[in-house]
Amino acid sequence: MRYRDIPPPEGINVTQVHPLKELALLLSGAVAAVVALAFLLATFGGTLARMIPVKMEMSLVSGYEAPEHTQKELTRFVRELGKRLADQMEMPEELEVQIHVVDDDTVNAFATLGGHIILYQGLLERIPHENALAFLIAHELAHLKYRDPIAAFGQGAAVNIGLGLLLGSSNLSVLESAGLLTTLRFSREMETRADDAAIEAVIRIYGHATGAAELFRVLKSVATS
Amino acid sequence: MFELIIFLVLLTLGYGFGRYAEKRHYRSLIEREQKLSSLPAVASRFPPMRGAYRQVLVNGNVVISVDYFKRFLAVLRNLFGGRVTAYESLMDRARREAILRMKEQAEGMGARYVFNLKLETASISKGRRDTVGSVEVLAYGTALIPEAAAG
Repeated sequence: MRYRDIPPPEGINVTQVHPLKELALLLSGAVAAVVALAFLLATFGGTLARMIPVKMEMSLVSGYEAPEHTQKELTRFVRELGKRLADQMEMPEELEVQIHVVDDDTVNAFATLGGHIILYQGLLERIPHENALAFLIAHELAHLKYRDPIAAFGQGAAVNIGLGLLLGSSNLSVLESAGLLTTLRFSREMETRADDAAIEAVIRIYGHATGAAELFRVLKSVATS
Repeated sequence: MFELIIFLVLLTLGYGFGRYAEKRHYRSLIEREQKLSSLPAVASRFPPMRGAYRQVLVNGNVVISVDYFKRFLAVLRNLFGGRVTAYESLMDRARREAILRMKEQAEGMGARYVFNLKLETASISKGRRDTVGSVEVLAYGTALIPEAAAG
């Protein structure tokens, strides 16, 4: 017979790898990649966040309207002082600093995303004199100058995304929610750097920065009580 | 957590049934191929010059579906590149099954050869999301039936 049918030999068109072995190999590779990505995000999240342009940060929180303080004069005074300090501090060009005084007994003050500084009446009442107030504002301005709020926020968001990747949750809503204007956690290095810049700016205007020590005393007494 | 359990159950089921079906299918393929080896199917377009034959179009087609386990392996493979070995055996089985079905049809007609064997594949799901991936393999050719045998 001229025409013949030869049965195809096994194992030519099919790669003989046990499927479970391939699964183990691929799965461990994928898990390693995800772990590496999560680790990188957690490590460099803050650094990456600082690269976000100021303009983008401003538009991110543009919807925020702080409640107008009843004591207009106090707010105006604080804002003018802030402007004088900011002129000494080489702030990022596109950043519009907005200082708000909140009518509340809370003894606190913080800088947050979008160039906002929130000062609580409770803290302002305890500040002994202008030099200490200037130091407080300069300290918050320095946070804005070094873009600490976006770095802290980015770090937190990156950790959340990293955890989300690891745990396989598809809910990455941290980016939208995460109360943009709540207090962010700054690291010790950020605080020290902000203190240094603030002291420098206050000395440039007043010639001394004794208010810094007094402000620390006030904050310490609040923390212990 | 609940989703993970469902996923693992599906994966195990896919693996268990998929492996079992594949082994059984290969046994059947090899057995039937041997049985039908006396009916050659060749790709040549030129039938033998001697003898008188009636020509009939014969075809065999098969649709195969991917099991969950193989699909998961292929998805992982998409990340890294390389041979999608999980699908290789599926395609191999489908191709051989289609040829066998075609030959079985030809044998039923008393054919001596199948000439001009051709194979075609088509994806039925076309890569749409949330559909079960399945593929069709069609084998067709010209069965040559000796005139004497034709009734």
